[in-house]
Amino acid sequence: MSLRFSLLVLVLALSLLCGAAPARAALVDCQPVPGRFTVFLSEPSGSLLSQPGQPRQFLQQLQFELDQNRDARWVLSPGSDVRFVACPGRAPALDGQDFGREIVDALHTRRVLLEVWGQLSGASGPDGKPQPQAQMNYLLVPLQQAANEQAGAGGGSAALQRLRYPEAGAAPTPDPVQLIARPSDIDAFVASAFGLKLLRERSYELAHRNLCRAGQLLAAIARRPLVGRSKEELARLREQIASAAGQAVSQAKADAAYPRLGLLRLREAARPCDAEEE
Amino acid sequence: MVDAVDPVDQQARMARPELLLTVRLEGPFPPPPPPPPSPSPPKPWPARLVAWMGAELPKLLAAAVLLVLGFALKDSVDLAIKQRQLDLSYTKEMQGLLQQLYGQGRERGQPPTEPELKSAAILLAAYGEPALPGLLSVLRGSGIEMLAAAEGLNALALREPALLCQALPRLLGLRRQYEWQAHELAVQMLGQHGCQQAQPALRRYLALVDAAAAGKPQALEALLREPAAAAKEDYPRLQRSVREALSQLEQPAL
Repeated sequence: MSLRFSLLVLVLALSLLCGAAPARAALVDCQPVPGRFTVFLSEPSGSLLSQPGQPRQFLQQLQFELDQNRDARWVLSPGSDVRFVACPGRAPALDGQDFGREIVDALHTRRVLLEVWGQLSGASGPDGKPQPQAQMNYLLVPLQQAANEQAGAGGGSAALQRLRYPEAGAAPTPDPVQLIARPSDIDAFVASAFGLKLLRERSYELAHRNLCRAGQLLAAIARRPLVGRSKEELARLREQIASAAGQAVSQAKADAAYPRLGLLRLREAARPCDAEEE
Repeated sequence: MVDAVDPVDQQARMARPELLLTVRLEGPFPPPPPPPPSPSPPKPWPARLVAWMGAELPKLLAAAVLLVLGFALKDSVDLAIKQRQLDLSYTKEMQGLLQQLYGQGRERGQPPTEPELKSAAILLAAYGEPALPGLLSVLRGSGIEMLAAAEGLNALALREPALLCQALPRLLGLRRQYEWQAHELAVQMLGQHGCQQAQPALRRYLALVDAAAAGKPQALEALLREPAAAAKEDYPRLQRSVREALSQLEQPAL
């Protein structure tokens, strides 16, 4: 009895110590849509949405924009369905440190493709009007999960992509939802993550189509004047997506369960997206 | 007046016993006369007590047995009552932690964070055996809830491995209770905590997972609450986890 009591006291003390640690971003649970592929829209931090209720409202507007107004732009098959889910209260750290191995694994097994979060702030534009600015993070869950599985094998992962808005040359907008949803960046990352996940699920044709589509959308982002780590990470992601498209072709050909008259048998693994590029 | 005794009559009377003795000698052999009582050794005291108690002894024995049984029963009943009281008090204490694990009792829009859930699960595990049903119940959830429950079960297994080694193989055999992710966590814990007695159950489970990975998932899916969404990816992964756990059990760490 006394042993149990002392253990309780010890655990309580440890918990208090943990609680006394400096406050940081918190990862709360968010439920994906059962049976479908999901993109989590997590709460952004920053000064722009500092009033209570503003982050939730922002997330709901962003979800509506992405889910309803641009529904399935990246999905090249009517049989597959990607849904956006607003996750109020879920505010990952900007550097992505909350996404440990277990968390990424739990997301992956629940078919979460992408998590989007970031920081929104306001600054006055050239005309003196307030202009929202954002730094958005995109975690490609299947890519991070694969990197975790191959930990120690070397090679960096491009699973976490970071981009700033408004992008260079873009028309200014006072609407933070349009600031993030207007460019095709989310489409590019969803197509990338979707293609990678489908490849893991051995759905080769759909994986190939999405990976080739992702390659085109990522190339469009790469044409922007990106600098520093964003540019390097994007370049690495493009390489990995191109490689995955080739794997979709080679694995389909090697899989006895893939139909003999499957379209991918006509493709070459070395140049998997030639037809799409033409 | 006193009659004078006839001497002839007196002689006849004296001769009669001789006559009677003669008649008796002609009949059956008479029992030998009892030997003269020899001086016997003193009996031991239990025998003397038994002799002294006589018919009262069985009643005394019955009363004594009843007394002993009564004491024994009272003791075990007392212990059981105390155990129940302790369990009840633990249940009340654990209620808050369980509510926290289920995300209840919080303001809307403020769900528990991952560290809070894990901390609650580890605290719950400190209660030992009474915490086991709660943690196994939370393991039926998904996402970070399920991860927190697994953390709690791991903490419990560090203290009382036998509890987990007994409960987790049973979990694998329950029908429609847990998702495959929870099965995988259970399998991993069995391997990591060296539950040797779980090997037969794991081998039987592996046969089901092998069949599922080979495209025949019906038997495995009869045990799962929901079939895996990505069967071609998830069942081979579960297969790898079961094989790894078995290999861990076949090669103990120490």
